[in-house]
Amino acid sequence: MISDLLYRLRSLTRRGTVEGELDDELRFHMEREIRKHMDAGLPRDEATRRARMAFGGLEHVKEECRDSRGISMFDVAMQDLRYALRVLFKSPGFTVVAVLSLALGIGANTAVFSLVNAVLLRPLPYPQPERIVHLTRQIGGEFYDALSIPQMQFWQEHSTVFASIAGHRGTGERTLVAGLMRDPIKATAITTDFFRTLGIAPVLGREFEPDETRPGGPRGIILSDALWRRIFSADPNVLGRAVTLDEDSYTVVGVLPPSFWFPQATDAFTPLRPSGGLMDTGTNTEVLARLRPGITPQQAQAEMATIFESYRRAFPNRVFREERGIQLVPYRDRLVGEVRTNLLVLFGAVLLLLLICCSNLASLLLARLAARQKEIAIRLALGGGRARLLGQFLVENLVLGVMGGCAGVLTGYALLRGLIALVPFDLPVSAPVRLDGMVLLFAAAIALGTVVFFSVPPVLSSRRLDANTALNSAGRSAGTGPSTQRARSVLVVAEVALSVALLVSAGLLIQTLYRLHHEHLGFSTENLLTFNTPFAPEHRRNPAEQWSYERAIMERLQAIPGVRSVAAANSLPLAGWNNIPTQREGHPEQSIGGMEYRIVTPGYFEAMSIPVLRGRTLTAGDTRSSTPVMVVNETVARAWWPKENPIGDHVVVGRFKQREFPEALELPREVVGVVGDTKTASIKFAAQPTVYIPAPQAAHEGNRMSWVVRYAVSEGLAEQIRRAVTGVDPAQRITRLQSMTQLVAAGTSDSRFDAWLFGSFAGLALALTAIGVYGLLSFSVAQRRREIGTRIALGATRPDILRMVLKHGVGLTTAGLVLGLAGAFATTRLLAALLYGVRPKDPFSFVAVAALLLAVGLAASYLPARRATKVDPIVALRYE
Amino acid sequence: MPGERIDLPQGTLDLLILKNLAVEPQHGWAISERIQQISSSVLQVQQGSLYPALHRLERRGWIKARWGASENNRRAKYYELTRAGRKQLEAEAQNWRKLAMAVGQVLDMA
Repeated sequence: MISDLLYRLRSLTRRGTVEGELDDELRFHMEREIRKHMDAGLPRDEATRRARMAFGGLEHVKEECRDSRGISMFDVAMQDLRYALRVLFKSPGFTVVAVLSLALGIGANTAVFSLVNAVLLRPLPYPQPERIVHLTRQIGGEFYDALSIPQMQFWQEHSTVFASIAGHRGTGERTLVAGLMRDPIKATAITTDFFRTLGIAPVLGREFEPDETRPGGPRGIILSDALWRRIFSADPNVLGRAVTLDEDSYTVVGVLPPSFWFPQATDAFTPLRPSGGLMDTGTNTEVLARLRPGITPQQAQAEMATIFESYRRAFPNRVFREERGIQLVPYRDRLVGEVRTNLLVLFGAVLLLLLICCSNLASLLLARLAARQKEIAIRLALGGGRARLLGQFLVENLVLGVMGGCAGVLTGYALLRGLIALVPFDLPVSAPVRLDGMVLLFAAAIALGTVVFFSVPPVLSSRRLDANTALNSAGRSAGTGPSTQRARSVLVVAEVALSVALLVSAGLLIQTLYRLHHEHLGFSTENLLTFNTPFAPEHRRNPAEQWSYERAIMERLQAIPGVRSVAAANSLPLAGWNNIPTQREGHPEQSIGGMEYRIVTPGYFEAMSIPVLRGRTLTAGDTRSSTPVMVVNETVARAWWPKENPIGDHVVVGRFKQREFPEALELPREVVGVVGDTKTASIKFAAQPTVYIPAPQAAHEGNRMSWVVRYAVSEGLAEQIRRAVTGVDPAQRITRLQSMTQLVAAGTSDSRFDAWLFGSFAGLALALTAIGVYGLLSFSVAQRRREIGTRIALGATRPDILRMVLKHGVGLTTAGLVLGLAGAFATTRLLAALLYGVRPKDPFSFVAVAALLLAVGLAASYLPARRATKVDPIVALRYE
Repeated sequence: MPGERIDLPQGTLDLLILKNLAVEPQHGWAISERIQQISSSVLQVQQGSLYPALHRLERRGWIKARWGASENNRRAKYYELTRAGRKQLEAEAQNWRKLAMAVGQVLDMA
């Protein structure tokens, strides 16, 4: 074996020497043979003749020797390679177009696959990540990612299928003080066993103990590696040190390893403890669990149903009527859930684009193949085997594939950087998205796939190859062959069909964007600037002080020239949820658990242009000492007073059915007005029931206020706003300064991204298809010149010819359209999750796309058709 | 014309070459002459087909080549049997004998 390889290697590397030796050896033989015959008495030339005959053809023997040296296959390949490169560089136009098409198709797929790989395929960075499940609450048809604390505790006590179960809740931005360092950090509250569930152990210290997660217990804090290095300079004696988090004192009990990753960026972990109050009833805690070894997901799910029944029996009023139970979802699905559809749809789109690119390219290659008939004929006539010829084509396609593949990877790299920058949704990835081994393998596979795809036609048509017919038909004109025409027609029809899918998708997504843009928000976004003033914990004021503070800021802002109106609220539309259980006084069954609660300054509705439908708005007359009042929105009015007048009735915040929540409970308030609905958290959701409380009458201190400023002149406004606010309190921070239009747009950024991307793909597909139709028809017209000339000579008019060609083009387009529409009809439901306000089978989109494609097909056929009418019959018929 | 000239199948040629070299190292022409002598010119070895066979055997490691001086002091390529070649020869020869016996028996019986 080894000697075999060494021998072959030597033959390869010392080629010159080996050839020389072969020459010498064979020459020696000949000379001895000649001498033998001469010794027997024959003259020299007779001896030579005899020797030659006995030996056989010298070149043939040399060739056989080379063969048995085992390198001829390699030789053949090298020859083919050199020839292929020569052929490709002789027609630079074609090569550039081909490589660019491949680069585009392969590059786009590589970029998107990198995303798919990083988000959907790479395993989570925890041991046995597939054993980690997320407990999801199913109410009616909806799934909620969080549970309430009592629910979590009940499951913790009653489940047997989990090795550990833990909850977590983000607690937002807090301020950390350690010695002289003071930093804003992000904290997450967790229960015991949290890290055990993930499978990670702190590198210093320990997890939280049960003592720390009960109310009133010692407060421990676990630091991330980055925080430890930043604040404590990686001090190994950090355990036991005290820090302050928002005025509470915590002791460091653990430090995490540097490789630890958690989807919610977290600098420090604090214990999650029940408050005994309102927060406990909220669905605000996410629960993870790790399956016990040997337990299957089905077994675990079955137990969830049992536990739910016990829970329902034990706490019937904590369970919604439509609540179905707890669903176990693999943790990865919880993380990628919303992004998954988007990514997969994107992936489907680039695959379609690749197929269209390849069809175009295949059509081009077929045309070239047809044009090379003469060359093929000559090679066959000169004795080149069919197999050898096919080998040649394969090598050419392989070279194209390799060049396209390399260009594709480079393109993919560039596209990926752009894609990541533009992607509007968060990518739950633990490591940066990049072109790793898996992705390169994928790119290679696609490149190989395209090579195979291109090689099918020559292989198929080669069965009919033979020198005679090739030579005969090649004489007539470049690119004959009805089979080529047929094959190219099939490709064009396929292109059209594939384009339909992309066009329809783009149409649906663009419509979605349009609907979102024109969605009724309930307030006016014109010339509206917004910003937040977060209140640092040490600067918290009691409600009365808070109102004076806000009023001072309002007055200063109002004084800015060019400002028309100013207002503030604890939370603006489209900025999130903020709800408290609320009840209509005297009607316990009219209770809304998730009543949105807004504290607003007087003049808020005017500033926002929210219409007042009944009664009055909130004014400066609603002070701390006057009657407690509130304004409700339409949704509440409809729900609680469908036939009556809400004005004058009373509402209690902080009460739900029979329960009261002391930390939220307020005195009953009189309803004085009804205002129009506004969007609450997202454009896509309907307005939520909302109550509005005047700021002077706010019952609790808040941690921030959001401001809106309606202006007439925007120049220098931001700077003046800053000065006005810091004029009242120099330490006041201003965050999220942006126009309301920007804030609203942020909510639709993913739909915009989808619409743009698909629109671009559809545009590309349309262009490629147009080129495909044009190319095929030009080819067809050139091929049919004699026929056309004959027709004209026999009396066909120019319009007749025009119509003939146009019919051909439109016919092809229609065929593709029919196929494509059928396919799109069946598959657009995959887009359903991304759509808003438009159905996947929206007839308008389908009709519009059909019309567009027909128009494009017609337009692309026009030039070749005109060329056909210009055929001079005399010249055409003479052309032989 | 002495007898019929039978064209040799490939495997037999290999065997004959190995058998020849079992005695002493030889160059290609000498092997060709010897084979013709031994087979009494009955087996016609197309001389040209000897050389590919030699190269093939060399590639498989059963013979090895060495350039040396021939009888008349010309440079010639000498082949000799390797240990592996010797083993191969033994095995092949045995197979041949078995086959020959079997065929002989069949022919006798018929």
